[in-house]
This record gives sequence, structure tokens and C-alpha cells, in this order.
Amino acid sequence: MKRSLKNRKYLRDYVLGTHDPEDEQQLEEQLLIDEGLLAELSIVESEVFYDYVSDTLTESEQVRFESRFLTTPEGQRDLQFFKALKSHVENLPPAQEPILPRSWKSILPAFLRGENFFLRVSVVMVSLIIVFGGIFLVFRNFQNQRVNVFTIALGPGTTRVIGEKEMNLVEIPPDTDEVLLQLPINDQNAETYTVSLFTDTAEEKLTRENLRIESTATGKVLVLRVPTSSLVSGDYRVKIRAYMTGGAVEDVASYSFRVVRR
Amino acid sequence: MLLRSNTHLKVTFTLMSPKSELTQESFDELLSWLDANAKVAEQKYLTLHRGLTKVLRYWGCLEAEDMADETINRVAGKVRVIKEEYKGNPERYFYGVAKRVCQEHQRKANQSTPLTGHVQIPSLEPADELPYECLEKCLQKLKPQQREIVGRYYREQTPDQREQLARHLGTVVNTLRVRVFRIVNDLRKCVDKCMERGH
Repeated sequence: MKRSLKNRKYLRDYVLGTHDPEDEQQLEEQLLIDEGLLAELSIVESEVFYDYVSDTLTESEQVRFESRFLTTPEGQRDLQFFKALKSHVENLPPAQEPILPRSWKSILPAFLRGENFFLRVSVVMVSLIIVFGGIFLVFRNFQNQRVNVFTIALGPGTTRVIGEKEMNLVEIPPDTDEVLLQLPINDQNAETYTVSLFTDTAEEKLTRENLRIESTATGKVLVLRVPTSSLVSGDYRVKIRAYMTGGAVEDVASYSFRVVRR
Repeated sequence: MLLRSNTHLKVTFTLMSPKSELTQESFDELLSWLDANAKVAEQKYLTLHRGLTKVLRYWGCLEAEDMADETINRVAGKVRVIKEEYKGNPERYFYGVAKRVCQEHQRKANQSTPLTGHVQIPSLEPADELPYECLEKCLQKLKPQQREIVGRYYREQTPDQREQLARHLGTVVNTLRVRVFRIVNDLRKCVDKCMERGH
């Protein structure tokens, strides 16, 4: 079929008898099973009736319309009705106070204002898919943000004699995001500990408060997390301060180490 | 047209000529040919009847509704054989039978009433005021918003004006068109009843 059966132009031509007869049988067979098409045809018929009484049909259309519709009692009744309707519309006062409230839907684009349920559901579904898809991707990216952590315990195993001093050597592998310094400590019965990191020029790089002792395979330690960005190659010192019950504060340990960035 | 009961369509009277009498059994057989599901078959039957009436009217068959009944009766009378021998869509079969029914009817009509070739068209000026009075009465039964929609729809006939009206109502032109048709269709039924009563 060349045209859609629901094409309003074709239906109007069918109503007026000016349609392409090639498609006629298919349209008429469809009318026997398609309630929507029947309804659309009825709408087009009423529009043609109104056009007839409004005298907007061409002369040949008028002749066809009259021979098709006005020869039956139903057609005559419809004609009377539409003539009365047209007269009513023409006699409406021109400056009638509008009583139609503006719908909130008027701000929506046309496809969302339509009553095509499936289209609207589709739009909502697509929107939901986009939103949840976006959330999923963000969540997955968040999870995929692996942090490369390099853990090293300061103490006898990592010391080197550097110059005249014995220092821990911390060789940070490339692509490391964070260094976990495990700082061995004897239990001081402190409530919390504060650990500060200084450069060899006594510049404080960072301080972590309220740390507590953790047990590891090698003994009790305080763990200081240091972003690699805070560590350039050079010498550093960490100082551990214990906050005792009762408010006393004691410096309990310090470690020196040299950082080598690979 | 055949009348329907609560759940199933029932044959309530014999239609048309004696040769196309319809039994409940053959009618049930017809429904089962339309669809195995009774509810779906019932809906298909109603659509089929409406469609046949419409198409027969377009073919110029007066009393199109009766012709649609006759078409269905003829098919129902032979439906057992049709089900076994006919391969194709039921609607195509009904379509062919309806054509024959209409042609027979028109042949008879032509034999009894010679064609004058002239269609009597009533004047566009009404003979009496009754349709107008009825319409005004029926319009008063509508909600004020419905009255305004109909008034504005027919007064504002350009595509731009109708698009604007549809947007104002938060809808699209085609939906507005359907809405207006429904209101007008109700009005038409109301006016028909009013005119039958004579006031």
C-alpha cells in the first residue's frame, strides 16, 4: 500500500470519493477489523460535514458529498446538526471571556503533550535508563578508582647507613598513590596518638591526630597514611606524640627516613 | 443488529430474509472462527458489524445496518464449511459477501424504483428552528469548558490557531481533534434524541 491507511488525507479523499481506488479494498477490509481506523474515519466525516456547511468544499467535492451523504436519513440528520452547530459558532460573541484554564502541560514539548501512552512511557523509560545508566557508570568509575598503596614498616629492617646516619630508606615505586608508613611503637597506654611528618628542613608536611595502635604480624604500630604527592625524594622525620589519660602529652618516638621516588 | 447479553453475544431475533435465519449454534461457531477467545471474538464481532455498516453505507446501500446483519447471517449459516475450506482472513470473506449483499439489494431497489439521476438536497437554511433549539439545550448540558473548546475549535480554524489552542490546553492538535469529535458526537446524539421528542 502506497499510503498509510490512517493517513488523514487519504481518508478525506475516501469520504469525498476522490480517493485512489487501488487502495480502496484494503482500506475497507481494514475497516472491518480496526476500531481505531473506524473512529478516525468518523472524525474525518464530521470534519467534512462541517466543511460542507461552511461552504469550503470545491464544487465537485460538494456534488460527491451530496450524493454520498445527503441521500440517507442519517445524512440529513447530520446535515441539520452541523448547520445548527455552525450557526451557534458564528453567533458566539467575539470577545468571550476565556474560561479555559491554561494547562501545566502547555510547557511540555508536543510529543510529551500527546496522549500516545506508549510514546510517553517510552520517553520516561529512556529517561530512566539514561539516569540509572549514568549513576551506574559513575558508581563503576568510582569503584574502578583503585588506589595504589605502598606499605612499608619503618624500623630495623629498612634502615641503611646514609652518610653518617642510619636511616630508613623508603623507595616508592612508580604509580603509587599513597604510602602507608607503619611506625612501630610500644604500647604507651595513651588514649590517642598524633603523628607529624616533617621535612629535613623542619617544615611540617602533615599531621594526623587521634591515631590508635594497630596490631600487625610484626608487632604494634601506628599507621600513617601519606599521599605520594606530599613526598618528594628527600629526608623526612616523623614524630609521634602520645595523649595520655588525664591530659598529659608525651613525645614518644620519632623516625627518620629517606624517600627515593623511582 | 444482534443484541448482546452480559458476557456473550446471543441471537435474539431472526434477521432479514427467511433464507438467512441464524441459530445460536451457528452464531457461536461464527464467533469461534473470529477468535478462539470468547471475549476477543465478541469485540471482533462488534467491530466487524460497525465496519460492515460503514462500508455498506459508502457503497450506497440504504439500510446499511440491516445489510451488515444480512452479511453476517449469511456467513454464519455456512461457517462450518467455510472454516474447513476457506484459507484466509475472515474479514476478506465478510467483505466479499457484503459486496454481493449490497449488489443484490441495489439490483432490487433499481427494479422497484427508477433512478431519476437527481439528488434532492435540502436547503442550507433550516425549515424550522428545532435543531437550533435542541443544540442550544444540549450545549447547556455540557461543561462550560467543553462548550468553550468546541466553540474555539470551530471558530479558530487555521492550523496555527488550533496548535495554539492545543498548546493552551496542554495537548497536541490531533488529541484536541479527537476530544472535540467526542464532545460533538455526544452533542449529536443529544440533539437526535431531542428532535425525536420534538423539543
